[in-house]
Amino acid sequence: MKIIKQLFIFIGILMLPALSQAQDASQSYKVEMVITLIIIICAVALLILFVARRGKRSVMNANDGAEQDTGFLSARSGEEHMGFWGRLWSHMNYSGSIQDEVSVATEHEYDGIRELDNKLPPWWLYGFYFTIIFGIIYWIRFEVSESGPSQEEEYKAEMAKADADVQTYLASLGNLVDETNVELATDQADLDAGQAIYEKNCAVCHVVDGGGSVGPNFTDKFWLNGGDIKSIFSTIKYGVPAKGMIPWESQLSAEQIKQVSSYIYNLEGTTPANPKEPQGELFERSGSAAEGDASEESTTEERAKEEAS
Amino acid sequence: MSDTTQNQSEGKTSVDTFYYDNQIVRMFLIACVIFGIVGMTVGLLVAFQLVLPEANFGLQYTTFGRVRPLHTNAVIFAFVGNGIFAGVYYSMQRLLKTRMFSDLLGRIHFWGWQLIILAAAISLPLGLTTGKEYAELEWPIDIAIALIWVVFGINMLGTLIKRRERHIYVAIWFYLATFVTVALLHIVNSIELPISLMKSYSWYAGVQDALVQWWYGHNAVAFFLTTPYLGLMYYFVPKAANRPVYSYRLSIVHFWALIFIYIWAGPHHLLYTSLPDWAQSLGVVFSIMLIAPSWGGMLNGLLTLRGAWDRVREDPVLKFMVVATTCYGMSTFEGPMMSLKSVNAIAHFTDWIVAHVHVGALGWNGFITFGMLYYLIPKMYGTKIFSLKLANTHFWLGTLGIIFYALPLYWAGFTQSLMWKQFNPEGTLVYFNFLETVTQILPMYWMRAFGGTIYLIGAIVMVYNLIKTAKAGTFLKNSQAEAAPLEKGFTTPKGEHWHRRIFEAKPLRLTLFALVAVAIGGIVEFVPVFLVKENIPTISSVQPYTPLELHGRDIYVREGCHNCHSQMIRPFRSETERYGEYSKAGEFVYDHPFQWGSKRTGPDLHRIGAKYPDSWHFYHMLDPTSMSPGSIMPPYPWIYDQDWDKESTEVKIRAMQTLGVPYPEGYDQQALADAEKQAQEISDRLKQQDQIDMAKDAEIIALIAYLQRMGTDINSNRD
Repeated sequence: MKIIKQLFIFIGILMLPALSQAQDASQSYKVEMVITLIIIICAVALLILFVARRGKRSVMNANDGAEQDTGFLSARSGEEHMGFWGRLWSHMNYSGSIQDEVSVATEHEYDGIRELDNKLPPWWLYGFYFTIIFGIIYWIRFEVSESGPSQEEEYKAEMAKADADVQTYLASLGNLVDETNVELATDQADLDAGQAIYEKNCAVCHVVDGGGSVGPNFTDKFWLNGGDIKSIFSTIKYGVPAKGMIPWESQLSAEQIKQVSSYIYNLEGTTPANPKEPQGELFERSGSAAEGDASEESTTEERAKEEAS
Repeated sequence: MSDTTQNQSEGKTSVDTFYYDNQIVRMFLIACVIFGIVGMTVGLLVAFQLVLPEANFGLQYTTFGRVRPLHTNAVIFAFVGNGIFAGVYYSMQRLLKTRMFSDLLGRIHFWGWQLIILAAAISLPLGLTTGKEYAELEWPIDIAIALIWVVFGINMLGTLIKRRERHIYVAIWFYLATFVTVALLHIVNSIELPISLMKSYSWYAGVQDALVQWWYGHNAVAFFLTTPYLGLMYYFVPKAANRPVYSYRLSIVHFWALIFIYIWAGPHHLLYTSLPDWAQSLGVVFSIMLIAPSWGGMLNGLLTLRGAWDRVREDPVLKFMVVATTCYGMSTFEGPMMSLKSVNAIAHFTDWIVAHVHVGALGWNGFITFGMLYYLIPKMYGTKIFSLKLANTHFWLGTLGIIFYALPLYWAGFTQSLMWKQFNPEGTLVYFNFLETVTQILPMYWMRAFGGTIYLIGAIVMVYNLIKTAKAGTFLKNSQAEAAPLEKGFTTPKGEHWHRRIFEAKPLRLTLFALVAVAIGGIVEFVPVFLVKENIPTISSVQPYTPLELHGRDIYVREGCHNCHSQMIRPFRSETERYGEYSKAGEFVYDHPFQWGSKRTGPDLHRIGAKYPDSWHFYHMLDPTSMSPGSIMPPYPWIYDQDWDKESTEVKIRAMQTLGVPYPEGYDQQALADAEKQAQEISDRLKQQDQIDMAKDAEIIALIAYLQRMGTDINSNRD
């Protein structure tokens, strides 16, 4: 039993790395799987060790000679086999030796079950008192003096701290991107990043080629909430909750929104497999924005067809 | 004086010869084993459904939301329930030196209970559910449970009356406390308004419903899975070890402390929710104070084995009992720790909870039951166990099963919770897509399923071993025993312990005091929450559901969505950033029953309303992976073929009015027309915006109506 308990404590300690592991969970889950497996293997090995040890001991005990059932409670002289931990355990519980248990025996007997009347283990009793004192202090702190924060106060404090932290961080970055100053990203790395964000988050509703399904089509010239880069940025950032477009502000950073906005901006004029019908108002891009690359220009004809139909 | 009269009368009294009824014990044991295997197999099925959505088989009757309650009900009420009854019927006769009060009541109890299980096994897959966890069974079954439970109680009390043992042993204190408390919990939590043969609405709403439900849910663990099993431990451990119980006074202190304190701790299931702060604090405080009373039971069990540890190595009965008691000690320490708000903020809604309950269920309840089976079957068949080796194999398979089950889930719980809470420095969530945090832990779910498989294999090995044992012996239907009857006019000799005088010689008094002890906590928590208005501040913009939304909500309840989705956004930055404004008590006042849920296998849904277009929900319910690639949510194709239940509209509105929902007078006549109109609007919108043809009568339309309404009222005054 003792060993089983130690085993569980050991396993508990081994679990602690999960905390740090999860902090850094961006790594592939395989790492965790391997670590969990290692822990389980350790646990199993320990168990086997435990069995082997016990088995060996019981063989040794068997050689000790015939067992004798003496005493009115048929206790065995287990006391001698007790190691340090066993003695400590007995001491902590304030329990007398097994040979002396007649002195704490009661007259009670039920279907052959006798009852001793050992003292309450002191550590248990004081533990009980401790939890009661803890309970009283807790209650006073949170419900009588109210010096402990209510959950609403906790929440406000958490939000205030987070706001301050974010502001400090953003200030350290310098120039901030927002819908008033955002510019179309032209760097290929930015556009690639934008594409990755798009495919992961937007494609379920707007389809991977931008043709639209639940959400509108990005490849035509019609835009529900404005087709310039600032409007696209703002639509993504704040969403259009009434139409089911969720705000992404808390999920994507300003830089990421800029990247994906630029990617979406460039989708206009491409040819999707199943285009959704145009929605919203026709938005003509001004000259500077219209200078796309060659491949885009080649689709002008198709775009004209689409608009006609 | 009294001593001499006692001696004299003992001399005169003839000794009675009587028989213990072993047959009723065997009946319950067989039922216990069968439902144990069935319940665990269903558990394994749901474990696999979490990693392989195909294992839902695309059928409504076998989909996770309906099968998971089947698993919990089967293992709690069928496996453990029958185990309790077997152990009680065996030990009580012997501890009181009499046959059970009535063979007939025993049989009614047995067959009644099995019929209830059958009714549960049919009704849960059909989606007939009250939507309250661990109390899913509908009202006719609830009534049957209450009646059969009373039959059990009468049989116990009758047995006590005709007992030949003056004082009652600690095991029986626990049985009696179990009887009264379970009756109280079941009746109070099951108060519901029937609207048809198999459909009812909880009498309570929102916060109040949640408080009652978790007072029940927590104490179902306490008084169905714990106290009766402590009684079994107090009988079978000393019997199997042939050692005296360690401490009588420890029994007294921990018995009364346990039942009194346990009942208060229910609110720890609702920390950081909309439950008033003071009720949460009560839950925390009493959970912490519960450690010592729980450990009192573990200590008395383990210390009883002093001087018998060498036998633990050889005797499978003791082995199972020791690990069971240790698991009990572990989970009753872990539970209070999880009730600390800071720990709960991490643990709640994750798989940590699932791991925690399974250490209790597989370790404590499972292993005590197995130990009891290995003790009773050879005894009642007058033989030795068929194979010690197989019993040992079972022990190790079971122990490994628990480890493989619990460890990965602890890990999964930690991981997922911390992923939910992780922020980028610019203030955005690192894992804003909930699904990422799910796919991350799928490997852990696989390992859990593996652990469960080993555990089940162990149990099957046991069944084989027990059948072989039974075949080798002959069943003793009745065991003969002798004892003198109690003499009349007995007075307890002076010098007896007060507890022995006041309670142990007076079982009825003990039962009544136990009832008082458990009633106090409930009353102190319920009365203010029900009567003091400030506890649930009203929000004027929160309006009753439209009739169509009400239908949609019933579909939500029927499909058991709450098994995977919460409707309770806690006041944490990580939750308000992910889901929206945190949930307020006043938002749930029309929710009969509440659907806060207790586990987030999927994201919270309280602010899902108006977040996505109707078509998103349309595609998502048909094939969740179309809108969330990699999702493990099963598809719900049948709600596209089935029509929402128009005929019940009137009666549903009237029921809600009875429950206090302020629909205008006579609205029941208008309701169906309104529902049809709203359904038509949704159907038209799907058509116009997304070219989706869906008849307005389909259940999906009602469900969309409900989903789009959820959690939006709080903002409606701003628009």
